[in-house]
Amino acid sequence: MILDKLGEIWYKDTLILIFMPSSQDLKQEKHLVEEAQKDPDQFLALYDKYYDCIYRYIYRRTGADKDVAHDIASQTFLDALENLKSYRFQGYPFSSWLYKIAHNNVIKWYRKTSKYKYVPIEEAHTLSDKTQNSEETADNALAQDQINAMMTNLDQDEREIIKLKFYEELSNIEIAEVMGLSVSNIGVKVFRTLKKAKGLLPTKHDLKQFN
Amino acid sequence: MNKNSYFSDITELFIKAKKEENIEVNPHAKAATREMLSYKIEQIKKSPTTADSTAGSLWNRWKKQLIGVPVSLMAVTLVVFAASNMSVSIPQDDFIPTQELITPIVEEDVAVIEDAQEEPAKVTRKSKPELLTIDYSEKEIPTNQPVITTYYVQPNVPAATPAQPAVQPQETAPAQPATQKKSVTSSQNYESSSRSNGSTSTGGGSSTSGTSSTSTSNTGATSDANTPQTLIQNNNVTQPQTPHLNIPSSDVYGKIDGDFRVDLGENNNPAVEVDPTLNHYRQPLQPQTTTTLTKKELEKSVKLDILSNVNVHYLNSDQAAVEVEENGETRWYMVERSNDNWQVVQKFD
Repeated sequence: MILDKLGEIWYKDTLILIFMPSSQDLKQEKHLVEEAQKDPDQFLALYDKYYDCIYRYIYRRTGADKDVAHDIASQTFLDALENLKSYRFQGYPFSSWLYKIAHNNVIKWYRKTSKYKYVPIEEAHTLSDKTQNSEETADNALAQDQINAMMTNLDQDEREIIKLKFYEELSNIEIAEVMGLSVSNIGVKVFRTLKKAKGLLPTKHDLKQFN
Repeated sequence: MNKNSYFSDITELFIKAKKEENIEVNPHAKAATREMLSYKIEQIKKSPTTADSTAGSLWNRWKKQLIGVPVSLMAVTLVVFAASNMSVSIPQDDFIPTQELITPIVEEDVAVIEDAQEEPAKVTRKSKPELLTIDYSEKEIPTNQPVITTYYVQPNVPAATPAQPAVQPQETAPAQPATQKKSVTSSQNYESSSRSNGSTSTGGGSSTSGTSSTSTSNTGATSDANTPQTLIQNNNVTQPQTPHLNIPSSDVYGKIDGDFRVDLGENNNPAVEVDPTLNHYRQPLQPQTTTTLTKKELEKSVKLDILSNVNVHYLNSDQAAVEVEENGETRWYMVERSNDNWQVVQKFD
């Protein structure tokens, strides 16, 4: 997806860039959604386009459980299909609406199962099976360890913001749409979360204790 | 400080962590979900509710209003009908009727002295047909029969005015100016104060008086020094009139609605003397509720553990004189009620 730089916000000597999908992509998406509302068969095109990112988002939220992530992802697209006629294009990508539905379904799942687990540090290495050069792999693995250690000290909203911002690469506007907050509020939350995460990052010495 | 590098280190970490993450999508699960969505789409196409018919949408839009409006109108009609047929009844205990409602007023010709040059004109004066004569005897009034007495009083009489028989029965009181007359119906207890020897008895028949010139308390009975005195309770029930109150005129004249207090003094002898000619009582118009001082409250207020013999003499609804006999000694306490709490105001040893 091509992102256009929508603007810049300075918050306490920090530059927060606001990106949005390009207007051309938005127009195409809007046309696709309108066609799907008229003919439900066109909804499958939206499904093929957004299933992977929705699945990964749910996978991260539910703690690396693939079966649960597939079930919740299926339910998310089923809900989207049933309520497609009520969707109104408001200048945001259609994926924002899908993320919002997925977010709600994950919360329902938490309430139903009373379960919430985060990928422990010991399992962080098993997530990757990508073949890379040894130095880059080790560097990435160390980064993963640091992130995992830091994430355990963040609350649920802060983890959500980090995942949507850096893993799903959503804009602040899309994150605001998913979480039901204002764009300015999201900008402040992003800043505070990053500041807190920066202070929580363990050192390499601390991580050696888990290896 | 470089504005663009404050969070650069942590953002780089996120990017690296994402690369390390490498979440793979199960293609079989994805295909199964796609098949389920196709089946669902077929069901949506077959469902009639999804058809774009103007009539169907109009019915769906307005059916709630069409059903709801008659139901709401019916509910409003029922409420109005029920409200129009309801009658409100006021409990007798809470209703303090005016004088006219208690005793119907009957016009009666009464001679009135106005001007010496003119013949006294007959004026109609309102009187109560059920007026009872005042019984100044010392006989006991039955406790279960409230005494209803009507008096014509002269308001705002100066204190220097010599005492006049304030209460005059309707049949024998011709010389009062008609314009200044004020009919008062009884059924109210008049608890007057007494400056005698610590006694606070106001027993007697329940009767009312609205004049300052005659507002002397009279229980209609003499009190004995050692005789426990009972008082009229606020529930309009008379008590046996054993004591008399000897009330100096200066304390009584000039106060109609005033505050009557019992000055217990230092003498434990509660004997009082009461002018037998003055036998009217008045109670401030208050709801007829019992405001007795409980033993528990009294114990708490006087800080006594055990009260063997206690007599409570009510002055009004908020004041009472308490006679406590403890270890052979008799003590008097003045208690007042404030915010529903009885407190000792004065203690007399």
